[in-house]
Amino acid sequence: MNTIASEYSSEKQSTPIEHSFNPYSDNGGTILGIAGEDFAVLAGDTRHTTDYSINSRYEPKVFDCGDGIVMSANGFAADGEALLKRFKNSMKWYHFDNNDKKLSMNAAARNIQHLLYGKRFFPYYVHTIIAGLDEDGKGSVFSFDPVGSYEREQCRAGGAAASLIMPFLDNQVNFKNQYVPGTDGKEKRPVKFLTVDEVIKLVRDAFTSATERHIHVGDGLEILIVTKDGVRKEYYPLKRD
Amino acid sequence: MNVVPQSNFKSAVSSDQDQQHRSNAVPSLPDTLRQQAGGAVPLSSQMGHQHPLQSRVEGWEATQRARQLEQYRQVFGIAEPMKREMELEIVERTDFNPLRREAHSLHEDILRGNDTSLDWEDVYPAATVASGMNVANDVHTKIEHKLQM
Amino acid sequence: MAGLSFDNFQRNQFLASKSQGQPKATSTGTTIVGLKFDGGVLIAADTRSTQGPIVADKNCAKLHRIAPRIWCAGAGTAADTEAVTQLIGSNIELHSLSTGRQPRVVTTLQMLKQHLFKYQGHLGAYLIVAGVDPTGAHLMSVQAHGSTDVGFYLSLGSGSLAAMAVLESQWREGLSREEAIELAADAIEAGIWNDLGSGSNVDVCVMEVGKDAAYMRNYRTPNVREPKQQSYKFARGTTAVLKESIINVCDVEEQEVDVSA
Repeated sequence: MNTIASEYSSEKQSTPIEHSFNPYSDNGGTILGIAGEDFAVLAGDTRHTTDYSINSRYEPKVFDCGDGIVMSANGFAADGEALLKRFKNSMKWYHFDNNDKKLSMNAAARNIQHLLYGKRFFPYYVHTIIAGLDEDGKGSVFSFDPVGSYEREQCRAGGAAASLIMPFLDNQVNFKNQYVPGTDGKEKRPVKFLTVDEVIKLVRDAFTSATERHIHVGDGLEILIVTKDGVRKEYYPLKRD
Repeated sequence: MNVVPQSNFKSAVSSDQDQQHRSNAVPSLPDTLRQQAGGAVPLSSQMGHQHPLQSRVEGWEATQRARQLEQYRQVFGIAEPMKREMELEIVERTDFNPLRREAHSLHEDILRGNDTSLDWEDVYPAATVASGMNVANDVHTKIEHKLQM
Repeated sequence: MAGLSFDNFQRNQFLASKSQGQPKATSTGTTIVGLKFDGGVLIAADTRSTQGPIVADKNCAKLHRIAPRIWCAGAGTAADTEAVTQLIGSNIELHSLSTGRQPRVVTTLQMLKQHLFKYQGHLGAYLIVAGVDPTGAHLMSVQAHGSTDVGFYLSLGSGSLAAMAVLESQWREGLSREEAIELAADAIEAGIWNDLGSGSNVDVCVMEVGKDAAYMRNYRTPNVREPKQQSYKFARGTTAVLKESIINVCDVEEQEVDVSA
């Protein structure tokens, strides 16, 4: 008498019982920071997901931390929130200890590096970007990997659709692969600072395009714009499918 | 339940086992010494030899046929399956067609009751799926073999 | 050996053990529904196909014709749903020619389940089969391992829960053709909005007893993209010409002809 092996019977014998808890998850979303001459923007979509489900269509993830610094930690939302809280707390203490001295972008960046590296062997599962004005009033964007390696950049995309947006930014912000017409590729198109309006157009197109092709991006786009006058917020709806 | 080929298939296949042979010090680098890839231990012995479906699919028709003949024997007696097998044998012998390769002829299909159905065997004849393994199976070789050239 | 080839199994396993793993097939992380109404049956589907988190096709067709009046909506591995429906479609036509009768939905279902059972779920096709034949209108579903269901309303795919929520609350016996189409489209939209594996448009196919099937591609398009903020047209010459070579494929001779004459 033969029996047909069922999935259950083979599983019962061959699979050892594992007790493993996975502390991380991925909540999707994408963020994008661009520095201009006298301003900086940091934008993020407002969709919050796990796997194929939408948890919220409006869950902001770009925040004004004070001192003209905006910050977003994209990836595992709980870690992002924890990191943001810790940074804000650290900023409070900085003000308390230093007679309300304004925290510079360079100092903020170094502080975040330490917050991240301090958890080197149980990292915050996030791609972090901060944006603001440096001590000369020039726009600046700093981006961090999950364990604290960071760099000041002109523009940077992070999160789920970073690989979709970054090439677009290289081409449209830093004019990569563009040459001056008529020079037969001898002369690169000179880079210039974009205006706020131009940058917002680029950001909106980057996000509508990412929404078209990435399932974890959509619902809404929130842009925080830092100028010498302070931080301004703009919201644009994105496709919800 | 021997209508379908008994097999040792698993219904779930993992394609990423064998990842434990890595150096601890440098996790991303394969440890050649411990893995002995291409060394003393032949690679083929470290891998599964067949797709879990292969034996089932390849043995499918033969098993079905055997079962059918068995039923004929039980219902009509031994003469029935014998007659059918003889008819098939006759068709297979007389119907020499070097172009047909592995595919069945119409006569054969009628005798097997397959003449109004298709399966992947009809869509993908052996010659189109083989990876250069049966080059000796072409028309010329078949005719030369038939005429003993 | 003819048929689906296993030739490269060992090689692929070796490659998989040495690298990141095997290439992923395009899957239609889908919402599909089917429901019966007064005088017929219909099926509907969304039009997004994905490769992991990336949208591979924004407007793909998931409704397949098996026979002129038997249609089928597919979820699962895109290639498998396509291949299996085409093969069974051919078999149904051959069978119909051989018997001289109209193809039947039960025949289609039996062929599908026998074929899928043979391949033990390795063909990842999850189908909703619907159609009209001389015995009336029918609605059934087949799972990849070969099990089947019959029902008045069915949904399948990653968005099946969202769609079923709508069907469970709104389906009733004796729906009219128009009511049924709207209900099916609403169910698919529930999947489009709430399931990330589904998106874009709604396709519908209506089969009424005694009539030809009506395939309504992009019956609803609730996801038209807004126009871009600016044009990304490059000035001519922005891309450098590194090398230029002209190959003369044929000899060109010019000759003046007086056309006024």
